[in-house]
Amino acid sequence: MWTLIQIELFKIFRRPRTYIAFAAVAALIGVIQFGLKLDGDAYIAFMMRDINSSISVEGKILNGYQVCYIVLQALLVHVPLLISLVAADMVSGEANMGTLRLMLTRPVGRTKFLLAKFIAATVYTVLLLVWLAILALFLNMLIFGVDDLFLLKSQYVVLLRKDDIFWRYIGAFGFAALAMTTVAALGFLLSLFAENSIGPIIATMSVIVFLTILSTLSSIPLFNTIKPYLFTTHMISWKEFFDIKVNDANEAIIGSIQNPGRIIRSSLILLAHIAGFLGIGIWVFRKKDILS
Amino acid sequence: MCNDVFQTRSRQPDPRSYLCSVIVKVSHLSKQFNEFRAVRDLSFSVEEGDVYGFLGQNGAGKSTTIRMLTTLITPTDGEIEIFGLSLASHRNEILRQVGSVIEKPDVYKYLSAYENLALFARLSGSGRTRALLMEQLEMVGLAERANDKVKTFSQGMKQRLGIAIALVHDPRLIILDEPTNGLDPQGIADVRNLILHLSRERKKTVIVSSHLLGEIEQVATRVLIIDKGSKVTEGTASALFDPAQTIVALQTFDNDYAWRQLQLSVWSGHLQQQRGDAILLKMDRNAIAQFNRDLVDLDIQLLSLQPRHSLEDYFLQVTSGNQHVDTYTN
Repeated sequence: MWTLIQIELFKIFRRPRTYIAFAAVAALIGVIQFGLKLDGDAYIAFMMRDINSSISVEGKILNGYQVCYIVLQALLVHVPLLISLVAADMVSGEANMGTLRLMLTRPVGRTKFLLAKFIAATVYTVLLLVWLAILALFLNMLIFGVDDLFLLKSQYVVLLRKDDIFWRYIGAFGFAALAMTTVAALGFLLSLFAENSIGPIIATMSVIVFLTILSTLSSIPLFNTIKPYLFTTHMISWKEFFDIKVNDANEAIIGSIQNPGRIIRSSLILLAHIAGFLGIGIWVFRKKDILS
Repeated sequence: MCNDVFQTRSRQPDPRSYLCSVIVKVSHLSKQFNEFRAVRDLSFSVEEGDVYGFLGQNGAGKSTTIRMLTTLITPTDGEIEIFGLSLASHRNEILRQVGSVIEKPDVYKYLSAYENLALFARLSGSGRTRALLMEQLEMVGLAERANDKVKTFSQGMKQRLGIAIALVHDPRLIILDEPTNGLDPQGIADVRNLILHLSRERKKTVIVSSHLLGEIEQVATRVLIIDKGSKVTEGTASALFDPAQTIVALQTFDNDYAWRQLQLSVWSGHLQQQRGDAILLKMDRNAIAQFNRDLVDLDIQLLSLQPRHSLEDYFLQVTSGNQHVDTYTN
């Protein structure tokens, strides 16, 4: 199995297409960093326009933690597309190239073959998020420095002390890795049904867009019923790491999370989706006639 | 059964120790795709050391059969035994001793020839050193291009690399599906010589499919002709290609009557089949005159009696009904 995973990783990282996602993340973060470095104060002024009169904030709002949060909010919507570029190509791309039949005439079971491919796709996903973390968190900490994190929620504001933030980002990136692995599993499943990469990539994005719309249509009771079961509803639960618990005196409890149960529940639902997508994929692939 | 001759006391049978002369045994194999029956009740066997030619027109069911032999397609019915083991239950043990190129030799274009070879060597569990891999590339004439990306290769070079990949784990059985497709005359000659080299020098058993009769004629020791998914005929190449074993196409006023009469006569053993508007018989050329006289005694009203000496004629005759364009002669 280890040999199979090594071979799959070797193939992934020898393909030029793989680096598109890394380059795209670098370019997008670079643009945001450039913009905020040049005109960050205007952005903060715009963000604070409604509460400037009632709250007085000391210190540097536009710091590395703040920029990282802005980047995550902007990018985590688009990263699924970059993930699907590779994940949805894992099997369909080989079918298209004709190498799938060459691989499957080797003494390797189909289940092992598929698991190795999925693990390789997961490693790629995690590495992409590590890359995102390096650029969005560590690089921004260097460029913009660190200070408290000030977040505007829909009905309240959250102020996190600078020594209580770093671990939250580690948790958020870990959760994002789980969410993106769910996207990878979906793309991977869809790639079993096609013999070209474009179809599964578009299908993966279409499913995510469709389910995200359903997740946000909270005013329709029917959709509210199914919403808790959609993986797209839970993909944004990384934000829970940045909600802090308060005591009776309305003081923040350092090192706490407002609703850790929600993170656990979302994680379990995402894991169930990953297992489901992978299980269906293995079942389909074991029975599939390779005609490509 | 041949399984008895496995020279192993371990629980897992080892195809390398299999000593039976029948390497591949296919029994009543069928494959149905929805309403379309691609292969029907096909049975044949391949013996150790054979270059087994698998001949048939495009769409005859050759590739489907070969994909079933290499586990890419699951049979609807029937049984495949390779090295005396059931392919359905001993897939991995068998495939460790099988090398194959299925249709086009598609490899990873973004990798070099050497990287492709090394990748498939690892996948096959073959711990081959760089020197051995280079030797393999040398054999197929690609040693000088070992480090070049495959995307720069010609079709012939890709085909030779595909064969090197099929051989990388030193298999006992090699399966080549249409290996000369898309090749220029030099490429075709290279592949032909490679097959002969593998058979004669390396003592490999080779199954090679083609719709090009001339190619099969030059390399095969035994031949199976398949048409519309069914076996038409099978035999040693020397018997099928022997001009003395002439195929005679007989056309009469009533072929059904003629077929019944011939079945009851001394010529029943020569009958091959009744296809289209002709009855095919196989006989020594010297017997044709006597056969002609006997037709009169059997009260068979003759329209034509045509001896066919060329295998191509025979091939086209037995696979009749597939002609899409009228025949023209210069």
